[in-house]
Amino acid sequence: MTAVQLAEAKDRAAAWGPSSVDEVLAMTIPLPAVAGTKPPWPPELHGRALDLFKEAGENPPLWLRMPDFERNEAVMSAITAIAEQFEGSGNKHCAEICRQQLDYVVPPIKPGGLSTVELARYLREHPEVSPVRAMRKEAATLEESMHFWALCANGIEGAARSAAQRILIAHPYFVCSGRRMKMPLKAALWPPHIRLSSANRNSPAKVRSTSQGSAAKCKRWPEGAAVPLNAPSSAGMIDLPGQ
Amino acid sequence: MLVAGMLSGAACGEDYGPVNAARALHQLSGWRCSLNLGCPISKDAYGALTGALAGDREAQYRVARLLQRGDGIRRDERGATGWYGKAAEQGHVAAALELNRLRHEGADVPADEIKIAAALRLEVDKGDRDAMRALADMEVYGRGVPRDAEQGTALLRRAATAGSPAAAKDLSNLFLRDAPGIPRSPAEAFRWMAESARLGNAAAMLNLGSMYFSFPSVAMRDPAEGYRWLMRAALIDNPAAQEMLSGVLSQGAMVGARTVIPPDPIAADMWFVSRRARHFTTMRASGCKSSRT
Repeated sequence: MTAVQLAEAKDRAAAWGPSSVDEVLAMTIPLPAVAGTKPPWPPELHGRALDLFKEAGENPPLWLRMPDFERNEAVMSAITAIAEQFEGSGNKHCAEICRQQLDYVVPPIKPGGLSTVELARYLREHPEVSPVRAMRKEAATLEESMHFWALCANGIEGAARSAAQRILIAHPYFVCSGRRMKMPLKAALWPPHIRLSSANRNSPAKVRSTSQGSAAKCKRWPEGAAVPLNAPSSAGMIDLPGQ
Repeated sequence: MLVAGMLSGAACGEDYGPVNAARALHQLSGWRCSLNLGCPISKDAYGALTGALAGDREAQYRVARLLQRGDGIRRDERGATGWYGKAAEQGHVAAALELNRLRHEGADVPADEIKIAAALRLEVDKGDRDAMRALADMEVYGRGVPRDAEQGTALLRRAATAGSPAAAKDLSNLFLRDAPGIPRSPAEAFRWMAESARLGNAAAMLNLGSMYFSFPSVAMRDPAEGYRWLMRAALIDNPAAQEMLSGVLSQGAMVGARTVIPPDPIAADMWFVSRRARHFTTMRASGCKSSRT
């Protein structure tokens, strides 16, 4: 927050006075306007990566910019930018993980997806293309785009950062946690009727389960806020603060 | 200094609980306390103690409050519990409610619970909704009366239907906790918490807001409604709601990928500052020092 914003918050707090119960019960409380405001951070983005994105300020570099998840191409370029940043810092492993997420965001090669025969032919003709991408049947939903972007973006971690390093994170601080984002090495669940070239061995099932597994492992919500509605309740019990 | 020390130290360590209060009061020299000259307890406490010993239930409740807070008299929780018990035995409803709270916190309550239950029943018959709450708790947990969860919840329903927000909240809490003989039911808990909030209970508004954000059943979660109830509780100056609202506004809230509450750092900070300011004011007013915000 800027000093101006802090001052405004302080002024508002000073000017505020409590209302009576009757007044409050009679009030219609409007929700804050969503249009034109910055959307919330995806709940799956967490830890130091989230801090980095928050601290990047108003005009962050592309790789530190939260994309418009409604625009498929914006998500793709954001993931690509993060992957390039990883590559630039010599972290091929993380770059590869990010590029892998692209497979889940790109539109299908053919609306409705390729048939088995078409798919086999396509993969033979394009050994460099990931089978995940080739098997896509429909465009990624908003939630999916957000999820796969967050899987890539969570790889960004900043170590000790000074104020001067907030916007452009220098090379040594740009790291990807291999512990949290492990790459599957071999395809185990690939449908047997499709022959794999050496370039497209990562099965979608394996990749998906591994990625989602690591995301679930790292999932945690800030207390009391931004809880996505599909989040599992940790204890199955309600934590009531006012009791 | 020596005289002052002797005067003020005269009743140091005295026990003002119901058992020893008469002796302790006797030891206080009457002229010192009636003229307020070096009396070791405040005038208010002296007056309340005199009334309490004479059997006035309102005075007994007042002494209990003063002892519990250490207001004008040395703090003595056990003594306070004893006086609450004496007042409750005479049908003082607020004292009985406080005793229930203390029991749930694990305090040892030296009071005749059968007498308390009988006295409360008289108040219930007069239609006192808080007496219904107090007696309902005793019935649910079988204190002073045979355990009867059904009758206890019926009593709470009666009080809630008669417009008691606290009774509705009590009922909700019973459905949330593992109360004996009452199966846990988040849906019933939610329903009664909403009722309590609608009746104007600030803590219920906060709880309801919290439930809308983190209810175990995903279908019942609704951050928009949660925000509204948190805002209502915050507007009537509930510090916990202000803090939670600050958190919600700081992070924003989503349903799937749809933004419901956009992050608003200024509003978030405003509520945080308000809560903190009031926290310090309260701490200053109660003469306490706070080490954390």
